[in-house]
Amino acid sequence: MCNNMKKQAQIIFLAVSICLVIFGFIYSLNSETLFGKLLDQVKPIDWDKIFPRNIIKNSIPIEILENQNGMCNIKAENFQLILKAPEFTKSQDLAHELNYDNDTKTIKIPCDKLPGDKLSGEKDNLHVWIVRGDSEKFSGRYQYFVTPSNVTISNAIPPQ
Amino acid sequence: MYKIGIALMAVFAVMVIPSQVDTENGKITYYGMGTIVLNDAFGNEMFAQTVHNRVVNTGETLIVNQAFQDGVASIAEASAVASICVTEDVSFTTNLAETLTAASFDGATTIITGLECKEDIAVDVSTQGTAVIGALTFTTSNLDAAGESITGIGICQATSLNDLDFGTCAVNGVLFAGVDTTDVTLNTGETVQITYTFDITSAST
Repeated sequence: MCNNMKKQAQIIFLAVSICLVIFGFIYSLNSETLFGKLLDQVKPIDWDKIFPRNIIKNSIPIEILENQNGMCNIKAENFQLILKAPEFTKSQDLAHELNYDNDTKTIKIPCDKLPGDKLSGEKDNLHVWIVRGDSEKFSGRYQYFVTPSNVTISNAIPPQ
Repeated sequence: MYKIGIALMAVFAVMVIPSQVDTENGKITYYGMGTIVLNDAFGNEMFAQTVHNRVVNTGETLIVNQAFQDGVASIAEASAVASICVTEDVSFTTNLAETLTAASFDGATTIITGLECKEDIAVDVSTQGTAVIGALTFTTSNLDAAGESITGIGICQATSLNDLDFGTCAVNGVLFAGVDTTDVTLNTGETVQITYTFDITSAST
């Protein structure tokens, strides 16, 4: 009987510990903790939590060249200007992510990330928002998104 | 099982260790932003960028001098901050520091024959707490030749003489702020439209 009670106490202690870890994880998602800062590097960027001066916004016109089995080959003539943005420490990550070819000035984006009919010849705008390294939240991160060509840098909003 | 429980408790403790206070929530901060739009010879947009500024020491002093009775005479309206100057300084990223002055900005621009500064004769202050200079359109005539690259922007005082393009920031007074942008090359027929927004609003004041 004593052994049963002892085992029960261990189980309760373990259960409480697990609950506390789960609570700690949820707490870190929304609070200013060291662990939360680690999570900032992997969870989706919440642009509303970043001070405007810590966001560098870029946009260029792009044109769909072809749709190859759901992957769109895109002309991005001035993509280099985005890669050379000030404080863009992860520019090579973006270039790699979009399969940028400097010789042909093309990138590849999954067609489901493009608006419209995704047909050859369609023109859109590619936006890349960068979080400065000085930012308390999501430091150094970036996000790209595509909008119709009539959406400019001043009125573009990244998808949630 | 107790050992596992204690280890999990330690994990919980690490998870809730607070980081330093978020300065963006705890400190009232103004900011300025520059927007550049590069257009081709047909007026089609090729590239746009919005990036933060750095208000330099002379700019901070100007704000304080104009707002408070500190024994320094206020500047005339025609000499207020209303100009945008471009630079070709290849080291502008490094040179844009708190201590940068108008003279240093001018000395590094490398533009000799072009008039690199433009003035906005009616800065937009219609939105509470903000001032917007521009959009001002720069062409190759503001540089020495087509094919040269703009590496950054300086925000300067206007001239009381007229509203025409002029050659240096220092001729009219101080450098207020600088904006480090991506280097953009202006070829024949291309233009760069530049807008500067200064925002001093704060919800908590």
